[in-house]
Amino acid sequence: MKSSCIVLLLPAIMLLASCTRGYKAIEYSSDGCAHCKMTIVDARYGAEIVTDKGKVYKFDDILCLKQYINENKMEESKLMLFVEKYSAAQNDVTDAKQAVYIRHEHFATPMNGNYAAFVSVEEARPFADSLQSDILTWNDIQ
Amino acid sequence: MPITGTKILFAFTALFLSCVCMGKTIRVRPGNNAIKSAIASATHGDTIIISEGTYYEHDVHVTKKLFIAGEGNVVVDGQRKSEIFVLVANGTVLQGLTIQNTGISSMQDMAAVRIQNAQYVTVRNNKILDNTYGVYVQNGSNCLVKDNIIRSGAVSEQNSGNGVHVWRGEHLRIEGNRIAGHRDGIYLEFVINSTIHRNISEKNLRYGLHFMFSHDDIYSKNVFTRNGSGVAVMFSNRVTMTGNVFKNNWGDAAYGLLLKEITDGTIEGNLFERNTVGVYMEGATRIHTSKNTFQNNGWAMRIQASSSNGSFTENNFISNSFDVATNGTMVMNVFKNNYWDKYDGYDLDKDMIGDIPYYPVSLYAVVTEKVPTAMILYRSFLTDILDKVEKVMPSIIPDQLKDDNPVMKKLRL
Repeated sequence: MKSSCIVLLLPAIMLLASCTRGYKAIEYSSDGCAHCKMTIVDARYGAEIVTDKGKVYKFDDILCLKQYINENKMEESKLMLFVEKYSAAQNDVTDAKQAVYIRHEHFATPMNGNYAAFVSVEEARPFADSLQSDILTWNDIQ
Repeated sequence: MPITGTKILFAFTALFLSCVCMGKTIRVRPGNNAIKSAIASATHGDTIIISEGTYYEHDVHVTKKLFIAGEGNVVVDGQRKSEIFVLVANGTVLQGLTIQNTGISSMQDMAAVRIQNAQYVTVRNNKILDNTYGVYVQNGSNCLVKDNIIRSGAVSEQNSGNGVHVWRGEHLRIEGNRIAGHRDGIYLEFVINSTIHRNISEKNLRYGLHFMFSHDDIYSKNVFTRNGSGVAVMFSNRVTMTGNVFKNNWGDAAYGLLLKEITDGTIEGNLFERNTVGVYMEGATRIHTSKNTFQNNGWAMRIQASSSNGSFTENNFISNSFDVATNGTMVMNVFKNNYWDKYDGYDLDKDMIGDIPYYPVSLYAVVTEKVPTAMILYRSFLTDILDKVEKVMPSIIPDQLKDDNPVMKKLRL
């Protein structure tokens, strides 16, 4: 009885789990960027859109994500946006709208967007100081 | 008599000059900072011969014009600490060395050999193994990178760099190198008037060869196999691509040749074999594709509607699942005199050119372009019927896109 219960429950749990809308890990050096078509390799600058229907778009540069939203006239309020934290391991992401950014040629990102994302102003401060650049917010990116 | 006098004077001057120009030869044997101290003691134009052995040195800055050559099996090992050679003097030659183990850093691009703001530098016949970046040209002109073996073992390493990386360069020659296991085999950003010739670039994580914002370059007779994708040409104008082989670039986001936002290119005499997509074009203007062979690819060509004024002539299309796929009508492009193995028309006037046009975009190519997941039904009974119906009554495929003169026999290319 008990085991049959588990057998019945298991697929149900799996179905539920697979339906959760949220960040889907970027498979580096295998997934391609939805905007520029390049293979995503640099884990410092990966980014992702999850739409209200749960569709996932992956990007290799934060600028690619921004341009993709603009070109396809997507409604930003309906999207979940994720960016890789610059100084963290791969697939360690943060909410793009809450993050802060630094733009500098030094980053040499795959599409020359040259934006790096940080969780807080405190975290970004030392980088901004050494690169002598400003700390930006999501709406500054273009 | 005065003539012989001048002659003798000239001979002496020449002799004297040649002595001065040849410089002295310094021989280096293994020891603590042996190469660095040899360079410090050398003067402009000297030759440094490095004897067989292993040298543990890094950040070796070559600030004067030197000829540096290895004799026998010379290994220069950076012990994963930093960069190894930095060449900043014009006319320096570095050859015959094994250069290995640069440091790894996410803040700095570590290179085995960096050419920095220099001209006429030659890097040849070296083995450049297990480094983040192999040869890194930072603002160089008229440099030669030839016959090197550039290989990195770290296949899944995220921070891996490119085999040959150029950031700002002109009149460069990159020839005869074998590159494997890097991020991009060869990466060119802001590079003009350069040639990439007879290289073999394989098993790199992303691209065999990658152009960004680089104009008036030629790449020919290279082989690109089993890379993430073969070659990507992006945001570049007037790039000529001839006689290359694009093979076994297989995977989800894999292309033999990826073109994005480029104008006035030539693609001639290349072989595209066993790639998921042979050629992918987006925003490509005035690209002339002729005399290429597309064989056993998933899609021979995927051309986005944003591409215009291209011509596709005298190509062979053999055993591809789809010949051409597009998301638009592509009326702005010309298809002429190609050989299509799927052509089932006839040639009653025996002029070796089919009497009815060939439509290279099949129904299912249109369907899967819109709904990629529909691919699971490909080669099913249902899709066969759809294809047959579409042939009788074309309604979905772009009817403007056709080859009016399909040749009956495979072209000899």
